[in-house]
Amino acid sequence: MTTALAPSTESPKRDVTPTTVSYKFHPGIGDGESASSIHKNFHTPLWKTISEIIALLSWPEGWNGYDAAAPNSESVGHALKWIEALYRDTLMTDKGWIAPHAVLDADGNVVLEWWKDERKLTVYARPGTVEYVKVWGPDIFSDMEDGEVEGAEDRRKLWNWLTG
Amino acid sequence: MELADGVGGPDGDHVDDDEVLYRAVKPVLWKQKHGGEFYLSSQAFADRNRRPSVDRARLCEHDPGHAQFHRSDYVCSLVAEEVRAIATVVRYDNKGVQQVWHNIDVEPVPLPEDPAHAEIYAVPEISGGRLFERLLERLAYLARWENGFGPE
Repeated sequence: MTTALAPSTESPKRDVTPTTVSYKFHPGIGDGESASSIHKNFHTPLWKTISEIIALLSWPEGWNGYDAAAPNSESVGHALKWIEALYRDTLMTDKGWIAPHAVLDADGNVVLEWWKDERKLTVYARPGTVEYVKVWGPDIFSDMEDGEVEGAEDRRKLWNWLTG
Repeated sequence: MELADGVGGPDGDHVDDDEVLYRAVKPVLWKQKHGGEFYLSSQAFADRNRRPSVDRARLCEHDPGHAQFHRSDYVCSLVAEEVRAIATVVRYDNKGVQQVWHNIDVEPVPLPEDPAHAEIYAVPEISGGRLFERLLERLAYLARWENGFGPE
């Protein structure tokens, strides 16, 4: 069962502060792929990752001490959608969820990194694209592969590779 | 970028193969592994100009603290020879045909406030594609924490 979050239509009482907002939960409303509600993740391992990605917005320009750009909010938004989709994928497998390490690149885009035994997966969530680097050894040619994640099939293939 | 007067320059200096190179790393860029080991993010060497900055240990009295921007920063190191041993990276087109060869090197780029400053770079410069992202993975793989300046 899923629940949707909606503001109450009741008028606030006079003795509450102006900043008080109350909510009613309406189970079953808002189901669907495009309306995935962030509150559903409070009880999932995904919530910690979402918090970490949102927290990247507070990193200042030059956060690495060198010349890193300020966080790109479009990239953060894209990363949130992408990681939620990936998490939903993992619920349909028996391989479980592995939380990524979330950081920024020098251009302010979100970078998600996973390590699993000898395999490492790095995902760059840029405003218009999601790109990846698969690493299974130190050699740039023979131990790495890169590409663009163009859809759900590519996303699932990456996860299968990481957890396979 | 302003270079230091009379120090280094394209013809006046060279980074020897045995030189140790320091890089400051923010604590957010490492992750604890089971068993006490660690993962270092590829973004430890991220650079907007695709020329990661390092400090030459030889020119800062082998003090890793010289590379720190803040006392809480960690410091990892590379050896110039290992960076150059990355040797050549090749960019291919969509059909797998080789397009460009890049050699990886390190050169002095002394700054007025930091004469030990040097930069890791590719020749020719890497532009576009994901080649630089692969290079970042390799640099993170090569990096070692300096004693007393890593996550202990």
